[in-house]
Amino acid sequence: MSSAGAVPLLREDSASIDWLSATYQAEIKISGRVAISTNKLIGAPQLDALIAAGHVQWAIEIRCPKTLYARVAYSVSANVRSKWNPDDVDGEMFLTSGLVAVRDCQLPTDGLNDLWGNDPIGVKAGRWLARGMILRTQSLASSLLEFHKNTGLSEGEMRVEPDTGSGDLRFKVYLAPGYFDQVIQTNRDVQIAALIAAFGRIPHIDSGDERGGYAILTQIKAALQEAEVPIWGPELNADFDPARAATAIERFRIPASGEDQ
Amino acid sequence: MNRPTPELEQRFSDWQRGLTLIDKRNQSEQHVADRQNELIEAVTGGSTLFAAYLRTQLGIDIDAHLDGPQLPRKLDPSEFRNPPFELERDLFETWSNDLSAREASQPLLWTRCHLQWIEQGQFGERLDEAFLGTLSSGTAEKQTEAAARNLLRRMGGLPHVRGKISVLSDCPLSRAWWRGKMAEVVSQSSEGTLDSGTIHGVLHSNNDAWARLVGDSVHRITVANHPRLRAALFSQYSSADRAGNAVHAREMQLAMQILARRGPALMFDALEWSELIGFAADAVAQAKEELSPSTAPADGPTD
Repeated sequence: MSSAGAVPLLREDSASIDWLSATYQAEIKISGRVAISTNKLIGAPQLDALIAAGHVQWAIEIRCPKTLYARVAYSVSANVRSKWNPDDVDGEMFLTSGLVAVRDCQLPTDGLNDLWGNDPIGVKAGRWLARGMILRTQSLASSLLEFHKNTGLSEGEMRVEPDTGSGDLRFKVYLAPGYFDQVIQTNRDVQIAALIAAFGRIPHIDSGDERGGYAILTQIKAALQEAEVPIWGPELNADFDPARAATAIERFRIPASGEDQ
Repeated sequence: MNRPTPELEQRFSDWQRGLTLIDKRNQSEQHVADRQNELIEAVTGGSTLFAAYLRTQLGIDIDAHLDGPQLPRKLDPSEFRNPPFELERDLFETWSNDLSAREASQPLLWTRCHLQWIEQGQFGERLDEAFLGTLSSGTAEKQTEAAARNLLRRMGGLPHVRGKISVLSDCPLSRAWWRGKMAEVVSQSSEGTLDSGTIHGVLHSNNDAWARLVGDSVHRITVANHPRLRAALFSQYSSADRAGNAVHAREMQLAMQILARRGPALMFDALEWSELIGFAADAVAQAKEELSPSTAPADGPTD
Protein backbone atom coordinates (compact mmCIF):
# COMPACT_ATOMS: atom_id res chain seq x y z
CA MET A 1 0.00 0.00 0.00
CA SER A 2 1.33 3.48 -0.84
CA SER A 3 2.39 5.62 2.06
CA ALA A 4 1.32 9.22 2.28
CA GLY A 5 4.74 9.98 3.82
CA ALA A 6 3.84 12.10 6.84
CA VAL A 7 5.31 15.60 6.94
CA PRO A 8 5.04 18.28 9.62
CA LEU A 9 2.02 20.51 9.21
CA LEU A 10 1.81 24.06 10.51
CA ARG A 11 -1.84 24.72 11.20
CA GLU A 12 -3.51 28.07 11.56
CA ASP A 13 -5.55 26.80 14.49
CA SER A 14 -2.33 25.67 16.29
CA ALA A 15 -3.83 22.20 16.66
CA SER A 16 -0.61 20.54 15.50
CA ILE A 17 2.42 20.16 17.76
CA ASP A 18 4.85 19.58 14.89
CA TRP A 19 6.24 23.10 15.10
CA LEU A 20 7.51 24.48 18.39
CA SER A 21 6.97 28.19 17.94
CA ALA A 22 6.29 28.96 14.27
CA THR A 23 2.89 30.40 13.47
CA TYR A 24 0.76 30.67 10.36
CA GLN A 25 -2.15 33.00 9.76
CA ALA A 26 -4.34 33.27 6.70
CA GLU A 27 -7.01 35.74 5.77
CA ILE A 28 -9.28 35.21 2.80
CA LYS A 29 -11.31 38.04 1.37
CA ILE A 30 -13.89 37.63 -1.32
CA SER A 31 -14.88 40.43 -3.60
CA GLY A 32 -17.33 39.55 -6.33
CA ARG A 33 -15.82 36.61 -8.20
CA VAL A 34 -12.31 37.02 -6.82
CA ALA A 35 -10.81 35.55 -3.65
CA ILE A 36 -7.57 36.88 -2.24
CA SER A 37 -5.74 35.07 0.51
CA THR A 38 -3.11 36.89 2.53
CA ASN A 39 -0.73 34.52 4.28
CA LYS A 40 1.60 35.27 7.19
CA LEU A 41 4.30 32.80 8.18
CA ILE A 42 6.44 33.57 11.21
CA GLY A 43 9.33 31.61 12.68
CA ALA A 44 9.84 28.99 9.94
CA PRO A 45 12.79 30.23 7.87
CA GLN A 46 13.27 26.84 6.18
CA LEU A 47 9.77 27.13 4.68
CA ASP A 48 10.63 30.64 3.46
CA ALA A 49 13.74 29.17 1.84
CA LEU A 50 11.74 26.43 0.13
CA ILE A 51 9.34 29.05 -1.23
CA ALA A 52 12.27 31.09 -2.54
CA ALA A 53 13.69 27.95 -4.18
CA GLY A 54 10.36 27.26 -5.93
CA HIS A 55 9.76 23.92 -4.19
CA VAL A 56 6.80 25.16 -2.21
CA GLN A 57 4.03 27.60 -3.15
CA TRP A 58 1.13 29.37 -1.52
CA ALA A 59 -2.20 27.97 -2.63
CA ILE A 60 -5.86 28.80 -2.36
CA GLU A 61 -8.39 26.06 -2.93
CA ILE A 62 -11.99 26.81 -3.86
CA ARG A 63 -14.84 24.29 -3.81
CA CYS A 64 -18.45 24.73 -4.79
CA PRO A 65 -20.33 21.49 -4.00
CA LYS A 66 -23.52 22.42 -5.82
CA THR A 67 -21.77 22.56 -9.20
CA LEU A 68 -19.16 19.89 -8.34
CA TYR A 69 -16.50 22.58 -8.75
CA ALA A 70 -13.02 22.53 -7.22
CA ARG A 71 -9.98 24.51 -8.31
CA VAL A 72 -6.61 25.55 -6.89
CA ALA A 73 -4.52 28.64 -7.60
CA TYR A 74 -0.83 28.86 -6.69
CA SER A 75 1.59 31.72 -6.18
CA VAL A 76 5.09 32.32 -4.87
CA SER A 77 3.70 35.52 -3.38
CA ALA A 78 2.04 35.39 0.04
CA ASN A 79 -0.95 37.11 -1.53
CA VAL A 80 -2.75 34.59 -3.72
CA ARG A 81 -5.52 35.68 -6.01
CA SER A 82 -8.04 33.33 -7.54
CA LYS A 83 -10.80 34.27 -9.90
CA TRP A 84 -13.64 31.99 -10.89
CA ASN A 85 -16.06 32.02 -13.75
CA PRO A 86 -19.53 32.87 -12.38
CA ASP A 87 -20.96 30.23 -14.73
CA ASP A 88 -19.07 27.53 -12.84
CA VAL A 89 -20.34 28.18 -9.32
CA ASP A 90 -23.60 28.66 -7.53
CA GLY A 91 -24.44 29.03 -3.86
CA GLU A 92 -22.19 28.24 -0.97
CA MET A 93 -18.43 27.87 -1.46
CA PHE A 94 -15.61 26.58 0.72
CA LEU A 95 -12.13 28.12 0.61
CA THR A 96 -8.84 27.06 2.16
CA SER A 97 -5.39 28.51 1.85
CA GLY A 98 -1.95 27.28 2.80
CA LEU A 99 1.48 26.25 1.70
CA VAL A 100 1.90 23.25 -0.59
CA ALA A 101 4.94 21.37 -1.87
CA VAL A 102 4.83 21.54 -5.66
CA ARG A 103 8.06 19.56 -6.10
CA ASP A 104 9.79 16.91 -4.08
CA CYS A 105 12.11 18.59 -1.57
CA GLN A 106 13.88 18.28 1.78
CA LEU A 107 12.68 20.10 4.87
CA PRO A 108 15.31 20.83 7.57
CA THR A 109 14.03 20.05 11.06
CA ASP A 110 15.07 23.27 12.84
CA GLY A 111 12.21 24.54 14.95
CA LEU A 112 10.33 21.25 14.76
CA ASN A 113 9.33 19.02 17.63
CA ASP A 114 12.15 16.62 18.56
CA LEU A 115 10.00 13.72 17.42
CA TRP A 116 10.96 14.64 13.87
CA GLY A 117 14.65 13.92 14.60
CA ASN A 118 17.61 15.75 13.10
CA ASP A 119 17.70 14.56 9.50
CA PRO A 120 15.93 16.61 6.83
CA ILE A 121 12.47 15.28 6.05
CA GLY A 122 11.66 14.18 2.53
CA VAL A 123 8.59 16.01 1.31
CA LYS A 124 6.88 14.85 -1.86
CA ALA A 125 4.88 17.10 -4.14
CA GLY A 126 1.28 17.53 -3.06
CA ARG A 127 1.80 17.74 0.69
CA TRP A 128 0.34 20.59 2.67
CA LEU A 129 3.04 22.18 4.85
CA ALA A 130 0.88 24.94 6.29
CA ARG A 131 -2.86 25.00 6.20
CA GLY A 132 -5.52 27.53 7.12
CA MET A 133 -8.98 26.94 8.38
CA ILE A 134 -11.81 26.38 5.93
CA LEU A 135 -13.77 29.49 5.14
CA ARG A 136 -17.39 28.88 4.33
CA THR A 137 -18.92 31.68 2.33
CA GLN A 138 -22.05 33.01 3.86
CA SER A 139 -24.99 34.63 2.23
CA LEU A 140 -24.67 38.40 2.06
CA ALA A 141 -27.55 38.78 4.50
CA SER A 142 -25.97 36.62 7.18
CA SER A 143 -22.63 38.37 6.66
CA LEU A 144 -24.28 41.71 7.21
CA LEU A 145 -26.48 41.00 10.24
CA GLU A 146 -25.71 39.87 13.77
CA PHE A 147 -28.62 39.25 16.13
CA HIS A 148 -28.51 40.01 19.86
CA LYS A 149 -30.91 40.10 22.80
CA ASN A 150 -31.41 43.46 24.46
CA THR A 151 -33.20 43.80 27.77
CA GLY A 152 -33.64 47.53 27.25
CA LEU A 153 -36.22 46.90 24.54
CA SER A 154 -39.90 46.29 25.16
CA GLU A 155 -41.45 43.11 23.81
CA GLY A 156 -41.76 43.21 20.04
CA GLU A 157 -39.29 46.06 19.54
CA MET A 158 -36.20 45.99 17.33
CA ARG A 159 -33.14 48.22 17.03
CA VAL A 160 -30.53 48.10 14.26
CA GLU A 161 -27.10 49.68 14.68
CA PRO A 162 -24.06 49.74 12.41
CA ASP A 163 -20.85 48.24 13.73
CA THR A 164 -17.49 48.65 12.01
CA GLY A 165 -15.30 47.32 14.80
CA SER A 166 -14.15 44.33 12.73
CA GLY A 167 -12.91 46.60 9.93
CA ASP A 168 -15.88 45.68 7.77
CA LEU A 169 -19.46 46.80 8.15
CA ARG A 170 -22.00 44.73 10.05
CA PHE A 171 -25.30 45.62 11.60
CA LYS A 172 -26.15 44.56 15.10
CA VAL A 173 -29.82 43.77 15.37
CA TYR A 174 -31.24 43.95 18.89
CA LEU A 175 -34.49 42.26 19.86
CA ALA A 176 -36.27 42.07 23.21
CA PRO A 177 -35.22 38.78 24.89
CA GLY A 178 -38.62 37.05 24.85
CA TYR A 179 -39.24 37.99 21.26
CA PHE A 180 -35.69 37.00 20.29
CA ASP A 181 -36.23 33.49 21.70
CA GLN A 182 -39.55 33.16 19.92
CA VAL A 183 -38.55 34.23 16.46
CA ILE A 184 -34.84 33.99 15.87
CA GLN A 185 -34.78 30.38 14.69
CA THR A 186 -38.13 30.27 13.02
CA ASN A 187 -39.23 33.61 11.66
CA ARG A 188 -37.36 34.52 8.55
CA ASP A 189 -39.50 37.60 8.04
CA VAL A 190 -38.01 39.20 11.16
CA GLN A 191 -34.56 38.72 9.71
CA ILE A 192 -35.64 40.31 6.45
CA ALA A 193 -37.23 43.21 8.34
CA ALA A 194 -33.86 43.76 10.00
CA LEU A 195 -32.15 43.58 6.62
CA ILE A 196 -34.48 46.26 5.23
CA ALA A 197 -33.72 48.45 8.24
CA ALA A 198 -29.99 47.91 7.72
CA PHE A 199 -30.27 48.82 4.03
CA GLY A 200 -32.09 51.98 5.05
CA ARG A 201 -29.02 53.05 6.98
CA ILE A 202 -26.39 52.18 4.37
CA PRO A 203 -26.61 55.51 2.45
CA HIS A 204 -25.75 57.33 5.68
CA ILE A 205 -22.66 55.18 6.17
CA ASP A 206 -21.34 54.69 2.65
CA SER A 207 -21.08 57.40 0.02
CA GLY A 208 -21.33 54.91 -2.84
CA ASP A 209 -17.94 56.12 -4.04
CA GLU A 210 -16.06 53.39 -5.90
CA ARG A 211 -12.85 54.08 -3.94
CA GLY A 212 -12.40 52.40 -0.61
CA GLY A 213 -15.46 51.64 1.43
CA TYR A 214 -16.43 48.39 3.13
CA ALA A 215 -15.81 45.07 1.43
CA ILE A 216 -19.29 43.74 2.09
CA LEU A 217 -20.87 46.80 0.49
CA THR A 218 -18.81 46.18 -2.65
CA GLN A 219 -20.32 42.67 -2.80
CA ILE A 220 -23.81 43.97 -2.17
CA LYS A 221 -23.47 46.61 -4.88
CA ALA A 222 -22.28 43.96 -7.34
CA ALA A 223 -25.23 41.73 -6.48
CA LEU A 224 -27.74 44.58 -6.83
CA GLN A 225 -26.25 45.72 -10.12
CA GLU A 226 -26.50 42.17 -11.45
CA ALA A 227 -30.15 42.08 -10.38
CA GLU A 228 -30.65 45.52 -11.99
CA VAL A 229 -31.85 47.01 -8.71
CA PRO A 230 -30.93 50.68 -8.02
CA ILE A 231 -28.11 51.15 -5.53
CA TRP A 232 -27.37 54.08 -3.24
CA GLY A 233 -25.01 56.68 -4.68
CA PRO A 234 -22.67 59.56 -3.82
CA GLU A 235 -25.64 61.87 -4.15
CA LEU A 236 -28.98 61.01 -2.67
CA ASN A 237 -30.42 58.50 -5.10
CA ALA A 238 -34.19 58.78 -5.09
CA ASP A 239 -34.42 55.43 -6.90
CA PHE A 240 -32.70 53.58 -4.07
CA ASP A 241 -35.37 51.71 -2.17
CA PRO A 242 -34.08 49.87 0.92
CA ALA A 243 -36.95 47.38 0.85
CA ARG A 244 -36.45 46.57 -2.84
CA ALA A 245 -32.69 46.25 -2.41
CA ALA A 246 -32.91 44.13 0.75
CA THR A 247 -35.47 41.75 -0.72
CA ALA A 248 -33.43 41.42 -3.90
CA ILE A 249 -30.68 40.02 -1.67
CA GLU A 250 -32.96 37.92 0.55
CA ARG A 251 -36.52 37.45 -0.55
CA PHE A 252 -39.65 36.96 1.50
CA ARG A 253 -41.17 33.56 0.94
CA ILE A 254 -44.83 33.96 0.24
CA PRO A 255 -47.15 30.94 0.03
CA ALA A 256 -48.94 30.47 -3.26
CA SER A 257 -52.37 31.99 -3.51
CA GLY A 258 -54.89 29.82 -1.73
CA GLU A 259 -52.27 27.67 -0.10
CA ASP A 260 -52.77 26.91 3.58
CA GLN A 261 -50.39 28.54 6.04
CA MET B 1 -32.26 30.56 -21.81
CA ASN B 2 -33.16 33.90 -20.25
CA ARG B 3 -32.31 34.12 -16.60
CA PRO B 4 -35.45 33.56 -14.52
CA THR B 5 -36.86 36.50 -12.64
CA PRO B 6 -37.11 36.28 -8.84
CA GLU B 7 -40.87 36.12 -9.27
CA LEU B 8 -40.61 33.07 -11.53
CA GLU B 9 -38.22 31.36 -9.10
CA GLN B 10 -40.66 32.01 -6.29
CA ARG B 11 -43.61 30.67 -8.25
CA PHE B 12 -41.66 27.57 -9.18
CA SER B 13 -40.76 26.92 -5.55
CA ASP B 14 -44.34 27.54 -4.43
CA TRP B 15 -45.68 25.24 -7.14
CA GLN B 16 -43.39 22.39 -6.12
CA ARG B 17 -44.03 22.90 -2.40
CA GLY B 18 -47.76 22.97 -3.00
CA LEU B 19 -47.53 19.55 -4.64
CA THR B 20 -45.54 17.76 -1.96
CA LEU B 21 -46.74 17.05 1.51
CA ILE B 22 -43.68 17.61 3.68
CA ASP B 23 -44.96 19.61 6.62
CA LYS B 24 -48.33 18.55 7.97
CA ARG B 25 -48.35 21.45 10.45
CA ASN B 26 -48.32 23.99 7.66
CA GLN B 27 -50.04 22.11 4.86
CA SER B 28 -53.51 20.69 4.58
CA GLU B 29 -53.33 17.13 3.28
CA GLN B 30 -56.54 17.62 1.34
CA HIS B 31 -55.25 20.79 -0.27
CA VAL B 32 -52.05 19.09 -1.41
CA ALA B 33 -54.06 16.10 -2.67
CA ASP B 34 -56.30 18.43 -4.67
CA ARG B 35 -53.28 20.07 -6.25
CA GLN B 36 -51.75 16.70 -7.03
CA ASN B 37 -54.96 15.52 -8.66
CA GLU B 38 -55.12 18.73 -10.68
CA LEU B 39 -51.55 18.11 -11.86
CA ILE B 40 -52.23 14.51 -12.81
CA GLU B 41 -55.40 15.47 -14.63
CA ALA B 42 -53.41 18.00 -16.65
CA VAL B 43 -50.70 15.46 -17.49
CA THR B 44 -53.14 12.77 -18.53
CA GLY B 45 -55.02 15.37 -20.57
CA GLY B 46 -52.08 15.46 -22.99
CA SER B 47 -49.25 17.77 -23.91
CA THR B 48 -51.33 20.81 -24.86
CA LEU B 49 -53.35 20.79 -21.65
CA PHE B 50 -50.32 20.14 -19.47
CA ALA B 51 -48.24 22.87 -21.12
CA ALA B 52 -51.06 25.35 -20.51
CA TYR B 53 -51.34 24.17 -16.89
CA LEU B 54 -47.61 24.59 -16.33
CA ARG B 55 -47.48 28.05 -17.89
CA THR B 56 -50.33 29.11 -15.63
CA GLN B 57 -48.74 27.64 -12.52
CA LEU B 58 -45.39 29.30 -13.20
CA GLY B 59 -46.89 32.57 -14.40
CA ILE B 60 -45.27 32.26 -17.84
CA ASP B 61 -47.31 34.20 -20.35
CA ILE B 62 -48.95 31.99 -22.96
CA ASP B 63 -47.15 33.90 -25.73
CA ALA B 64 -43.77 34.07 -24.00
CA HIS B 65 -41.09 32.41 -26.11
CA LEU B 66 -38.94 29.76 -24.43
CA ASP B 67 -35.46 29.81 -25.90
CA GLY B 68 -33.80 26.87 -24.17
CA PRO B 69 -31.54 24.29 -25.76
CA GLN B 70 -33.18 21.95 -28.23
CA LEU B 71 -33.65 18.22 -28.00
CA PRO B 72 -31.89 16.55 -30.93
CA ARG B 73 -34.94 14.42 -31.68
CA LYS B 74 -38.23 13.09 -30.33
CA LEU B 75 -38.00 10.73 -27.35
CA ASP B 76 -40.35 7.90 -26.53
CA PRO B 77 -41.23 7.32 -22.84
CA SER B 78 -38.71 4.53 -22.38
CA GLU B 79 -35.88 6.54 -23.94
CA PHE B 80 -36.81 9.55 -21.84
CA ARG B 81 -36.83 7.69 -18.53
CA ASN B 82 -33.62 5.84 -19.22
CA PRO B 83 -31.78 7.27 -22.21
CA PRO B 84 -29.51 4.73 -23.94
CA PHE B 85 -25.84 5.70 -23.88
CA GLU B 86 -25.69 6.87 -27.50
CA LEU B 87 -28.67 9.14 -26.89
CA GLU B 88 -27.24 10.45 -23.62
CA ARG B 89 -23.96 11.24 -25.36
CA ASP B 90 -25.84 12.95 -28.17
CA LEU B 91 -27.83 15.02 -25.65
CA PHE B 92 -24.70 16.23 -23.88
CA GLU B 93 -22.92 17.06 -27.10
CA THR B 94 -25.96 18.95 -28.36
CA TRP B 95 -26.14 21.01 -25.16
CA SER B 96 -22.50 21.26 -24.14
CA ASN B 97 -22.12 24.78 -25.48
CA ASP B 98 -25.58 25.95 -24.50
CA LEU B 99 -25.44 25.46 -20.74
CA SER B 100 -23.04 26.39 -17.97
CA ALA B 101 -22.67 24.39 -14.75
CA ARG B 102 -24.43 27.18 -12.90
CA GLU B 103 -27.41 27.03 -15.24
CA ALA B 104 -27.48 23.24 -15.28
CA SER B 105 -27.64 23.15 -11.47
CA GLN B 106 -31.02 24.92 -11.50
CA PRO B 107 -34.09 22.64 -11.45
CA LEU B 108 -36.17 25.56 -12.74
CA LEU B 109 -34.12 25.78 -15.92
CA TRP B 110 -34.72 22.12 -16.68
CA THR B 111 -38.42 22.42 -15.93
CA ARG B 112 -38.68 25.32 -18.38
CA CYS B 113 -36.76 23.25 -20.95
CA HIS B 114 -39.19 20.37 -20.48
CA LEU B 115 -42.10 22.75 -20.96
CA GLN B 116 -40.51 23.94 -24.19
CA TRP B 117 -39.92 20.38 -25.43
CA ILE B 118 -43.44 19.31 -24.48
CA GLU B 119 -44.81 22.23 -26.50
CA GLN B 120 -42.61 21.21 -29.41
CA GLY B 121 -44.13 17.71 -29.28
CA GLN B 122 -40.81 16.06 -28.47
CA PHE B 123 -42.42 13.61 -26.04
CA GLY B 124 -45.52 13.03 -28.15
CA GLU B 125 -49.06 13.81 -27.09
CA ARG B 126 -49.33 11.35 -24.17
CA LEU B 127 -47.11 12.27 -21.25
CA ASP B 128 -48.25 10.06 -18.38
CA GLU B 129 -46.00 7.08 -19.09
CA ALA B 130 -42.91 9.25 -19.35
CA PHE B 131 -43.50 11.60 -16.46
CA LEU B 132 -45.81 10.00 -13.92
CA GLY B 133 -44.98 6.32 -13.77
CA THR B 134 -47.19 4.09 -11.67
CA LEU B 135 -47.02 2.20 -8.45
CA SER B 136 -48.41 -1.28 -8.51
CA SER B 137 -49.41 -1.17 -4.88
CA GLY B 138 -50.33 1.29 -2.17
CA THR B 139 -53.33 3.44 -1.51
CA ALA B 140 -54.67 5.80 -4.13
CA GLU B 141 -53.31 8.70 -2.09
CA LYS B 142 -49.83 7.20 -2.03
CA GLN B 143 -49.92 6.53 -5.75
CA THR B 144 -50.97 10.09 -6.41
CA GLU B 145 -48.21 11.46 -4.19
CA ALA B 146 -45.63 9.21 -5.87
CA ALA B 147 -46.81 10.19 -9.35
CA ALA B 148 -46.60 13.90 -8.51
CA ARG B 149 -43.12 13.53 -7.11
CA ASN B 150 -42.02 11.47 -10.10
CA LEU B 151 -43.09 14.24 -12.42
CA LEU B 152 -41.34 16.96 -10.42
CA ARG B 153 -38.16 14.91 -10.18
CA ARG B 154 -38.15 13.90 -13.84
CA MET B 155 -38.73 17.45 -15.07
CA GLY B 156 -35.66 18.87 -13.36
CA GLY B 157 -35.59 17.85 -9.74
CA LEU B 158 -37.30 18.38 -6.43
CA PRO B 159 -34.72 20.35 -4.42
CA HIS B 160 -36.71 21.10 -1.28
CA VAL B 161 -37.27 17.38 -0.71
CA ARG B 162 -34.19 15.77 -2.26
CA GLY B 163 -31.62 18.54 -1.92
CA LYS B 164 -28.96 19.62 -4.39
CA ILE B 165 -28.46 16.11 -5.70
CA SER B 166 -31.94 16.03 -7.23
CA VAL B 167 -31.04 17.88 -10.41
CA LEU B 168 -27.94 15.70 -10.80
CA SER B 169 -29.63 12.36 -10.50
CA ASP B 170 -33.45 12.49 -10.58
CA CYS B 171 -34.11 14.07 -13.96
CA PRO B 172 -32.95 11.81 -16.81
CA LEU B 173 -32.06 14.69 -19.13
CA SER B 174 -30.27 16.92 -16.61
CA ARG B 175 -28.46 13.81 -15.39
CA ALA B 176 -27.32 13.19 -18.97
CA TRP B 177 -25.79 16.69 -19.08
CA TRP B 178 -24.06 16.29 -15.73
CA ARG B 179 -22.63 12.89 -16.59
CA GLY B 180 -21.30 14.27 -19.85
CA LYS B 181 -19.87 17.30 -18.09
CA MET B 182 -18.17 15.21 -15.44
CA ALA B 183 -16.75 12.91 -18.10
CA GLU B 184 -15.34 15.92 -19.93
CA VAL B 185 -13.73 17.43 -16.81
CA VAL B 186 -12.33 14.10 -15.68
CA SER B 187 -10.92 13.37 -19.12
CA GLN B 188 -9.14 16.73 -19.21
CA SER B 189 -7.55 15.97 -15.83
CA SER B 190 -6.52 12.39 -16.50
CA GLU B 191 -3.16 13.14 -18.13
CA GLY B 192 -4.40 11.69 -21.40
CA THR B 193 -5.29 8.31 -19.92
CA LEU B 194 -9.08 8.47 -20.20
CA ASP B 195 -11.29 9.77 -22.99
CA SER B 196 -14.56 11.43 -22.14
CA GLY B 197 -16.69 8.93 -24.10
CA THR B 198 -15.29 6.01 -22.12
CA ILE B 199 -15.86 7.75 -18.79
CA HIS B 200 -19.36 8.75 -19.80
CA GLY B 201 -20.07 5.14 -20.72
CA VAL B 202 -18.94 3.91 -17.33
CA LEU B 203 -21.00 6.54 -15.54
CA HIS B 204 -24.01 5.66 -17.64
CA SER B 205 -23.70 1.96 -16.92
CA ASN B 206 -24.24 2.25 -13.17
CA ASN B 207 -26.92 4.59 -11.91
CA ASP B 208 -26.37 3.69 -8.26
CA ALA B 209 -22.67 4.46 -8.41
CA TRP B 210 -23.43 7.75 -10.18
CA ALA B 211 -25.92 8.77 -7.49
CA ARG B 212 -23.43 7.85 -4.77
CA LEU B 213 -20.59 9.63 -6.49
CA VAL B 214 -22.39 12.91 -7.00
CA GLY B 215 -24.44 12.63 -3.84
CA ASP B 216 -21.41 12.40 -1.64
CA SER B 217 -19.53 15.01 -3.66
CA VAL B 218 -22.35 17.46 -3.08
CA HIS B 219 -23.20 16.65 0.51
CA ARG B 220 -20.19 15.37 2.38
CA ILE B 221 -17.00 14.57 0.53
CA THR B 222 -16.45 17.81 -1.34
CA VAL B 223 -12.73 17.08 -1.71
CA ALA B 224 -13.77 14.45 -4.27
CA ASN B 225 -14.64 17.29 -6.61
CA HIS B 226 -10.98 17.87 -7.40
CA PRO B 227 -10.78 17.03 -11.09
CA ARG B 228 -7.47 15.15 -10.78
CA LEU B 229 -8.63 13.11 -7.81
CA ARG B 230 -11.85 12.27 -9.57
CA ALA B 231 -9.88 11.32 -12.68
CA ALA B 232 -7.68 8.99 -10.63
CA LEU B 233 -10.71 7.43 -8.98
CA PHE B 234 -12.33 6.97 -12.35
CA SER B 235 -9.27 5.38 -13.75
CA GLN B 236 -9.62 2.69 -11.08
CA TYR B 237 -13.38 2.51 -11.44
CA SER B 238 -13.09 2.08 -15.17
CA SER B 239 -10.33 -0.54 -15.11
CA ALA B 240 -12.16 -2.55 -12.44
CA ASP B 241 -15.26 -2.40 -14.61
CA ARG B 242 -13.35 -3.66 -17.64
CA ALA B 243 -11.83 -6.45 -15.58
CA GLY B 244 -15.29 -7.63 -14.53
CA ASN B 245 -14.73 -6.56 -10.94
CA ALA B 246 -17.02 -3.51 -10.98
CA VAL B 247 -16.85 -1.03 -8.11
CA HIS B 248 -20.29 -1.01 -6.53
CA ALA B 249 -22.00 2.06 -5.14
CA ARG B 250 -21.19 1.35 -1.50
CA GLU B 251 -17.58 0.55 -2.37
CA MET B 252 -17.31 3.78 -4.31
CA GLN B 253 -18.64 5.70 -1.33
CA LEU B 254 -16.18 4.09 1.05
CA ALA B 255 -13.27 4.63 -1.34
CA MET B 256 -14.15 8.32 -1.48
CA GLN B 257 -14.31 8.47 2.31
CA ILE B 258 -10.88 6.83 2.55
CA LEU B 259 -9.44 9.35 0.09
CA ALA B 260 -11.14 12.24 1.88
CA ARG B 261 -9.43 11.24 5.11
CA ARG B 262 -6.12 12.01 3.37
CA GLY B 263 -7.40 15.46 2.42
CA PRO B 264 -6.05 17.36 5.46
CA ALA B 265 -2.49 16.25 4.58
CA LEU B 266 -2.63 16.08 0.79
CA MET B 267 -3.31 18.62 -1.89
CA PHE B 268 -4.54 16.20 -4.54
CA ASP B 269 -4.13 18.79 -7.26
CA ALA B 270 -0.34 18.89 -6.78
CA LEU B 271 0.38 15.16 -6.41
CA GLU B 272 2.32 13.29 -9.08
CA TRP B 273 -0.19 11.44 -11.27
CA SER B 274 1.35 8.05 -10.58
CA GLU B 275 1.14 8.61 -6.83
CA LEU B 276 -2.43 9.84 -7.08
CA ILE B 277 -3.40 6.74 -9.06
CA GLY B 278 -1.77 4.66 -6.33
CA PHE B 279 -3.84 6.35 -3.63
CA ALA B 280 -7.03 5.81 -5.61
CA ALA B 281 -6.15 2.15 -6.22
CA ASP B 282 -5.43 1.65 -2.52
CA ALA B 283 -8.71 3.29 -1.55
CA VAL B 284 -10.74 1.13 -3.93
CA ALA B 285 -8.94 -2.03 -2.82
CA GLN B 286 -9.41 -1.17 0.85
CA ALA B 287 -13.09 -0.41 0.29
CA LYS B 288 -13.62 -3.71 -1.51
CA GLU B 289 -11.76 -5.54 1.24
CA GLU B 290 -13.72 -3.90 4.05
CA LEU B 291 -17.04 -4.53 2.37
CA SER B 292 -16.26 -8.03 1.25
CA PRO B 293 -18.67 -10.55 2.82
CA SER B 294 -15.76 -12.69 3.91
CA THR B 295 -14.13 -9.89 5.92
CA ALA B 296 -17.25 -8.14 7.17
CA PRO B 297 -17.73 -8.86 10.89
CA ALA B 298 -20.31 -11.56 11.41
CA ASP B 299 -23.27 -10.94 13.64
CA GLY B 300 -22.28 -12.49 16.92
CA PRO B 301 -24.49 -13.64 19.73
CA THR B 302 -25.99 -10.93 21.85
CA ASP B 303 -25.78 -10.85 25.61
